[in-house]
Amino acid sequence: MRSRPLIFWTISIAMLLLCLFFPVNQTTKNSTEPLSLSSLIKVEPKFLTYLDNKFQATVVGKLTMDVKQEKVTQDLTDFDVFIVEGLDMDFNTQFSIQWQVDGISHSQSLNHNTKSITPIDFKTTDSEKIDNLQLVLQSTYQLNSQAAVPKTVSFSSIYFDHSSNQNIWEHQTTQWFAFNPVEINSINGYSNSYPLPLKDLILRLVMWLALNILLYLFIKLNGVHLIVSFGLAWLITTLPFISNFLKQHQQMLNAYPNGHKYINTLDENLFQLAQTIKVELNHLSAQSNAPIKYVILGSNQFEYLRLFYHLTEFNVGLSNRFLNINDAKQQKLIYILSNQYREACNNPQAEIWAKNRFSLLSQQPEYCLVEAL
Amino acid sequence: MIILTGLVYSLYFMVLGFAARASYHLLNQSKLFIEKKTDFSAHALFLGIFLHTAIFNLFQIIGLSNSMALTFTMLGLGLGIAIIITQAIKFGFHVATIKPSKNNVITLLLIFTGSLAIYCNASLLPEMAWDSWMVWIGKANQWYQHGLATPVNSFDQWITHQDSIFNGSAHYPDALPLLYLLPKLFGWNSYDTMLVFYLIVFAMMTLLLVSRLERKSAPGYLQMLLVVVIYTTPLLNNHLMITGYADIWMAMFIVIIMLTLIDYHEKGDIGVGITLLCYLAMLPMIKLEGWVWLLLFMIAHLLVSLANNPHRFKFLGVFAALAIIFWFMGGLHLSLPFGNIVINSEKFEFLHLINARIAFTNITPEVLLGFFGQNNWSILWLGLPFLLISFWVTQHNKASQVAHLFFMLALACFFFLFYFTQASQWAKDLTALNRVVLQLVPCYIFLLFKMLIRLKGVATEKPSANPIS
Repeated sequence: MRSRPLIFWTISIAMLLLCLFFPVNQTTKNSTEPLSLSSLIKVEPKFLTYLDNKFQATVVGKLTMDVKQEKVTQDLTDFDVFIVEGLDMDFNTQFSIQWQVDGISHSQSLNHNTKSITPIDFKTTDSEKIDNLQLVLQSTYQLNSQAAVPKTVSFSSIYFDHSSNQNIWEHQTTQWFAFNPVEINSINGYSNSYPLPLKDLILRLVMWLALNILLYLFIKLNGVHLIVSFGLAWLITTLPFISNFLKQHQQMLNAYPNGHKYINTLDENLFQLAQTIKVELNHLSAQSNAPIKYVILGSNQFEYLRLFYHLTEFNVGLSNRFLNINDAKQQKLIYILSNQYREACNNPQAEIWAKNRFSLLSQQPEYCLVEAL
Repeated sequence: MIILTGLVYSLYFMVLGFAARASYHLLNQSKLFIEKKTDFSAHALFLGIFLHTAIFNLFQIIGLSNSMALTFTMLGLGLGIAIIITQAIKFGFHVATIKPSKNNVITLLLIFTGSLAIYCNASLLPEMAWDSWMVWIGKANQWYQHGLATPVNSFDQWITHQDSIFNGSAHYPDALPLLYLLPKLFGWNSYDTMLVFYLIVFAMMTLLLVSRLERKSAPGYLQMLLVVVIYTTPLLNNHLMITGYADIWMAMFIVIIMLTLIDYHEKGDIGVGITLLCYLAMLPMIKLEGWVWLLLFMIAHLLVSLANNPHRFKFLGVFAALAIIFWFMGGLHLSLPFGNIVINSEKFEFLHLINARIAFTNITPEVLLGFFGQNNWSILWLGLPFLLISFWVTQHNKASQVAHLFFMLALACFFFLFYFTQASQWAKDLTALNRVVLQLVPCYIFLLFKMLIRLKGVATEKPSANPIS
């Protein structure tokens, strides 16, 4: 039965194409014309210029571009995708669209691709309720130790459209190959964002493989063919993964051009702060006869945890409770107050937890040291 | 330089593990048989990790200073080398000469390429994993500054105990911080050294898996597919790239235990049994949930032994009777010196491992999202129903039964934890849901590929050592 593999693969490939490109949840709205935003963007001219047939946006930290909604004549809820063509943006910048419905803010990050096609759900069926429509370009500093240098983002056109007007191959592949950056919480999942760019692809491939298994059982051929189909499905999901992996490499090269001593700028600032504190703590330790324990007053937030990390050469702790010296038994207890807790040094009587609880040892613009009474 | 320190560090563990194997044979006055060099090196590496952790725990107990700990480590290393040389001179090694096949070379190249690609990204990243800089590297930093033997306490204990240091995760086990500590004592960059070390240990685990598939008559293309799957499973790849999480260590040790358990059942060798015990002891030293996996391995072993016993129906009857008695008594309530065991319809308490109110939370959407939607595992979990069916419909030897049963029990525990306890909050935020699964994934991939070998016409014609497996 040499024809069995041929039958299997003919049916299998036909099913694969059907599973991959069968349009799902797509309403037909042939009459919807794209809504170009090129002439509807309201921003200071120096931040958005038109040069060489492309818009050039200059981003210093964050650039917010309002959309002149009063000039929009079409119903926004008729559109279900937002498209940016010729997008050229570095991997540490995020492009998003933001709007409000009944005073509630919504935001959607745009897919990072040369032709970016992002599904949009306005969370309302009434176009009148949509207001404060804005385009936002923002540098991300989560994993970045660079100063806020101006960046240029360029694109050739920008418009709302309906997915039925799009080529289904292009529509699918731009989703699958959308950039998914490394973020501080990346480890909890390959992608935490919504919409999940590869969810659709995986479900389609799972469906194809399930059908393939049934076909394999029905035709009863060599198991190698089933393994090859599994390998093929794996390869299809791996291509976007590898593409993303390479983009992440670029993202990190851009984020840490001079190596990675610190996680981000905030971390670098905390390191500098710790160096200043260390000088004082060394002085206090040298002066004291009794053992000293230092406590950073703060919660389990990045600011306090990293300060703790940079101060571990001292016997230092971290707590959001202020304890008295009686609790420490024969030891001096010196607190490091930073951020919002530093206010208590200025006026201890104003804070219930601070009233008559400590004596001030040192006061600096970014922190103060107090000894528990 | 970083790659060099990582390689030297791996060599240190291999020497420790090799010396342990050599000392066993020295005591037995027998020749050390090395069947396959890659398998031997991998086991030596994992055994070395256990020995290092155990030795450094001992250093902590006897209160050694950092400089003394470093001196004793160097002495230990010298002793290890001396044992290996003595074994070589007195009884010798028998190294089987296996000519590497084309498949072996391609597999090695794939592993090297995967590791190199991950290294290229990982080496650009700072020490950004929170668990790492707060707990694992965090504790290593603290011991480096204050001394290895300094007790680490939670805040309330630290504030009242002099000569102790504080860490927010003081109750976490110490194996991983102890792995980070030694490079620091050598004056190396411990984060970068460990990054290379992670990749080498993972590569060794992959080699062992491939070797085991080869032994089960897997064709070359299936062995290569296994390597590709392991290195391109997104969350496994991510955990290697963002270095510093302990879950990947649990994953590696769980799969190594599974392989060693299969070896032990197939060979019945005491040396393999001792190695297995060392690996099992490593589980609770890495993470607290290691106790759960350890218990599950023991339960799986016990259940399979009972199921293969001629009196199995009597045991089943006794078990059913006990279950009915406990049902009428309103559950099981035991107070033991080392904790309580309470199992009833409202509460599940097991020693100090878990104490949770039982309440159902529907986390199915999050499970589906984590398993498929987020692309953590690509299409991997499609195989689960088939794996479960294959366990019931095909014949397995005892070793394979234990491996499969462990996996099913672990999965059942996982679902119980997230569906019926407050842990559902970490399923809802898609955090632990993915990370606990990660610990079982290499083991799942291995079982999945073992299942694929059984498909018609897939296994190579080479006669297998164990036709039923």
